[in-house]
Amino acid sequence: MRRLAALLVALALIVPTAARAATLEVTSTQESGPDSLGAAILEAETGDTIELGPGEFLLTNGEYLVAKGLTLRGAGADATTIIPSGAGDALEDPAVTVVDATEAEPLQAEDEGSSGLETKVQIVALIGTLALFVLVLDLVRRRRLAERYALLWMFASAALLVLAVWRGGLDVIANAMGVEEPANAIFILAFGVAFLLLLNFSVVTTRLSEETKILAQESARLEQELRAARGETPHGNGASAPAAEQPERERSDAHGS
Amino acid sequence: MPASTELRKLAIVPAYNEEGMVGRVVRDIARLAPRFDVLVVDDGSTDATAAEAEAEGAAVIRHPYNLGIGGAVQSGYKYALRGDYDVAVQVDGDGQHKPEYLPEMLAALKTSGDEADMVYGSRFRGDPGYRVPLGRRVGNMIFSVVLTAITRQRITDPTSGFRMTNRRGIELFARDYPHDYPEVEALLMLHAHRLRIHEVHVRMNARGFGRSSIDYPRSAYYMLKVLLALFVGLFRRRPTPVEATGEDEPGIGAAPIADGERIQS
Repeated sequence: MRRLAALLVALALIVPTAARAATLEVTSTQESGPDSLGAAILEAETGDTIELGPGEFLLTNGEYLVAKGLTLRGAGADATTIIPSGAGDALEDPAVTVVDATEAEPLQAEDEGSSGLETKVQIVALIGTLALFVLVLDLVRRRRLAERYALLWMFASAALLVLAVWRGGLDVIANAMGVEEPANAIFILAFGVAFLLLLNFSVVTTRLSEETKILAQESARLEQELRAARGETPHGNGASAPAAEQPERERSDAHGS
Repeated sequence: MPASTELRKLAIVPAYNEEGMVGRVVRDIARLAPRFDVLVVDDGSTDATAAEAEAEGAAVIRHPYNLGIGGAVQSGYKYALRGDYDVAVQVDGDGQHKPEYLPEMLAALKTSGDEADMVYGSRFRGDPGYRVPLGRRVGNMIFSVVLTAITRQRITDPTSGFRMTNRRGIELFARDYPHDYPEVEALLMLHAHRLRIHEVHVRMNARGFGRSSIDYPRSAYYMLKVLLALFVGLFRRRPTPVEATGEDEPGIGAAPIADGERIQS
């Protein structure tokens, strides 16, 4: 009795699903919109079959295709072509059945880490950062760059070097920053670093101008004292100016004691 | 304190290309306030400013290039500090400040020896004596409101550069003086160091050649720069150079008394 009951329950569960399994027709070859493949996948129930006419169909919503275990039926291997828009993993999934249709090459190249930087770019970045490194070292060697700024630039180029070599690194950083495109992450980072460097130079410039001001004041004061001590005034008309300055110095001495 | 009864007084005259005017300023100071030594700070002039000042008997410091009004005035305070002056007054080389007020300002500094470390001449305590352009008046009012709020005392003419200070002020400004448009910020510095400010009414001449160091396009920058300086200045911990005790907090009680003695001696 028990077995029978279990069987009945199982049947009750299976039958409605089986009864609902339907066939949807896709008439549009558009990427999205009504009657497109993507829309049909969203619309379909578990176990449904989607019928495709002749033509090329762009496959989107692959994850639902897998989750619902759908079947795609074409109008013949030479008439219907399915082009996966992603990496093409959905069509390989065992839950998905494809009949009478050709699977085209995926639009997006399959890639282990989906890293934003290709090998070619990596090589260029590597050469570029190495050149920057050598340039900085050479400037230091010729004493045209103080070591402390050299360290700053070498640190910056080292950071670039790391990002160029370590493929996953950029993705990790992009993810952590919430940036979708790794290339954008590197732009944001580079901009930030450049901004900080420039700010640092503004600070240095401010200090330099302050120091230069003090030097100018000191040199002007020394020149004035020298002329007063010699009792000469290079521009004055000889007679009155030294006479005017001399008593002042004497007063200064008298009051200082 | 030395037994000398005579205070050493210096008039600092910052001048940048003031040929034809600076000589008259030096002469007027010598005539109207003869007890003041005159120092002209020639801030990199390309004309005969220095020669003219020297011919009138002033000591002249010549900057190798233009440092700006802040750098020029500070040069004067440094000279005053080294020369052991007790009182220093700024008198613009363009002739807008009238030396006839010097005795009055000196009296205010002396009699209020325990109340004022800096006495400055305000145009706006009464009738300025000439028409002040509206833009400047408005700017002046804004600074006036801000500074009055910060210092909790009425500051009617914060952009006036006609200022006389005692030894404490000399020491402070010789060490640290603002750059481009220094007058307003300097007041804030005085306040931050608990130096007391006193205001007297003066009339000023319209500037010698009708030229202002602040023209219209620059006034917006001027306003912003000074307001920023004021704002930042509120958060700045300045060392107090006057007290030689080496303590962080200035000895409010001790120094003014010592200074008062000196100024009244």
